[in-house]
Amino acid sequence: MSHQHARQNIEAATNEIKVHLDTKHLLYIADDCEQDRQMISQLQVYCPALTQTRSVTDAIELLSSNHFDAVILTASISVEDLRAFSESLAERVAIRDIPIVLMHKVNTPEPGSELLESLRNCSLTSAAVEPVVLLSQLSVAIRNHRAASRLREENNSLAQWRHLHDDDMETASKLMDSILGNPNYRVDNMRTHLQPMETLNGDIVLATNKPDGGQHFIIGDFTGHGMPAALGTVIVVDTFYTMTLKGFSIAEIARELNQKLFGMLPTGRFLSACLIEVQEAKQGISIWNAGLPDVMLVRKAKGIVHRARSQNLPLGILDSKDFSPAIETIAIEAGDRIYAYSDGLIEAANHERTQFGQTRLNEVLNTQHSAETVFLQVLGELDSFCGNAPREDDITFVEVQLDAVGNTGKELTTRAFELSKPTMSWQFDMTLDTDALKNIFPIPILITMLVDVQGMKNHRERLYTVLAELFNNALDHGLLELDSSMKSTAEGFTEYYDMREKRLQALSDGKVAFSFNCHPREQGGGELHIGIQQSHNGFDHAKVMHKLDTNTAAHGRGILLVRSICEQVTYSDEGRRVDVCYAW
Amino acid sequence: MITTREIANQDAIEIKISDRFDFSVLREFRKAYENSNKPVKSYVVNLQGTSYMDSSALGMLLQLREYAGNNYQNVKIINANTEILSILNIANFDKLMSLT
Repeated sequence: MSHQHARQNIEAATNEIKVHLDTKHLLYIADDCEQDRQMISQLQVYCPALTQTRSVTDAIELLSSNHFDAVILTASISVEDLRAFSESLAERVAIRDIPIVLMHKVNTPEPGSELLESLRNCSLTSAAVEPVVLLSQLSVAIRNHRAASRLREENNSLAQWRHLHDDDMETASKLMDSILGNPNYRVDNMRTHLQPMETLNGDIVLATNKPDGGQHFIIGDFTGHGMPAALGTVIVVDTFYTMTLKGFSIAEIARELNQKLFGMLPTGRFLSACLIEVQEAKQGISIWNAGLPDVMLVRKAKGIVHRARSQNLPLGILDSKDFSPAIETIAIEAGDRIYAYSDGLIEAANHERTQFGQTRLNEVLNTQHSAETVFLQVLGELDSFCGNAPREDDITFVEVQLDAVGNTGKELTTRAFELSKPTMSWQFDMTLDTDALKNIFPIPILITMLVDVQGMKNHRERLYTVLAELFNNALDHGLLELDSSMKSTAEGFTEYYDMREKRLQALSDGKVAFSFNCHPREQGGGELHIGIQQSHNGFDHAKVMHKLDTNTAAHGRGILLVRSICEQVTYSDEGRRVDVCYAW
Repeated sequence: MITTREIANQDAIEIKISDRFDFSVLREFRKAYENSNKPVKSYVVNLQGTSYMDSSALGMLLQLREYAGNNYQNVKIINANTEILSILNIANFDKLMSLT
């Protein structure tokens, strides 16, 4: 049959059916009989490069060294040859899945299903099949084979990628552990339960002691999980520790964190957090809550005595100029506990999709457990409520124990500490005017200066205590005329800080001036003279002098401690000025 | 599922979220406000029937707010149920946009 004739045949047959055969590479294994020759010439219309071979051995050879998309086996092939073909194919991974169409002649023995299956990708068709039908079968078989190959390749590359990824995650996780878990900064009055969804997550719980003996805590929850959240925590960790150790307040730390995160995070990402300050004599705590559920103060035999609501936008949303931290300050009693937690705890659900909820949590906190077991009680209730329902969010739960009123930690002895530099002669004056007083807490900055200029790192805590006490006296009692005895009741305590804030903002005329004067002593060592002067006019100086002298441990370690740290403490200018001599 | 409609006589559009306001609607939500052929000044986010909202939804609202010009008036949330309102309040979003 001529080509033209063949084409006409196919065209006639394919009038209604158009078959697209996307290949030039077909292998036709057949004896050279008339039927085969006809079929071949018809196929060659669509596949001019169709290759023909008589022996299965040659076929294997051809398949191994050339690219073919499909194999056509004709009816004339013997079962033994077929078996040999199958065995040879099976050994060759690259070609053993090639689509095969086996044309079977009626009334001849069929190859068994076992043999067919061993050919892996073989379909049976009649030897009397119409060319267009065969083409259609081939088309589908080739398409499927290509899809399967692509899928296999993708899976392999995915498996490789996953392996690399898991490795990276493990490394990153170890890094995070060492960044977050710096043992130098830990406190011993906090219990934490962290249950993140992924190893790399944005849950933050940090705590450390301040230079004056108080403590700072931060509990935070970044939006999202994984690497982006984890990266954010690194910035927060560094800022929190550095600023706390220098003596900055939680308001200033919040502001700095907000600014850093606002600049760093894309819109839509933020850090819900709360910052807690425990004052050094443990008379009170300050809480800044930005996006976490109510932070609870729980008292023995009373349950929840205070709920610090979130009154601030989470960190990273507001521009600096719009950032205005709302902080609550409340009195505490020995034995009190603070509980802070992420919304994951409240929203944890059981199989019926009911949430654990704020009410259930409050119930546990309010029930008269012994203080030591409340923490575990909450976790136990949560566990039995949720059962083995799948978790949907990170769970963070933190307890801070406020056991002893009084000094948190180290005793400040009067032992002389070495300086990291020899004592030099220098002098430094700084005056804070009204607007500066409203916006700056100068102590950390001054301490940093003393450390940097005169190498007084080992004296940080003592100097901080002295400067903070004297400055607070000058500002609170001097310029703002506040009365410390207000702090002896719980309501008065909060009122004191509210009033302080109001009066500070309303201050229209007031200055505080610092002077530092350092020089070595002939016999060795040196002395630092610190003078603090406030400018308030017309106050009852006798009353103030009396207060200053009797400011005892009830309202802070006070002036007694300053007197024990410094060689000399002198008041002058009707109580407006204090001079101390700190020596080593 | 997000549906959008123009609010007659105002340069405003209403975006309605059904059922779950979470990460799965991120693309749709963005398309809803990015692809409008008219100039739009303000947006109303209708949470009628929305039963669930997570922090990625808060993120989406922040992005919408930024797109709309970072002003209090330009984004309004309506028909939030008690639970969702409480999530928005804990996050203090009432400082950023009107909530009902």
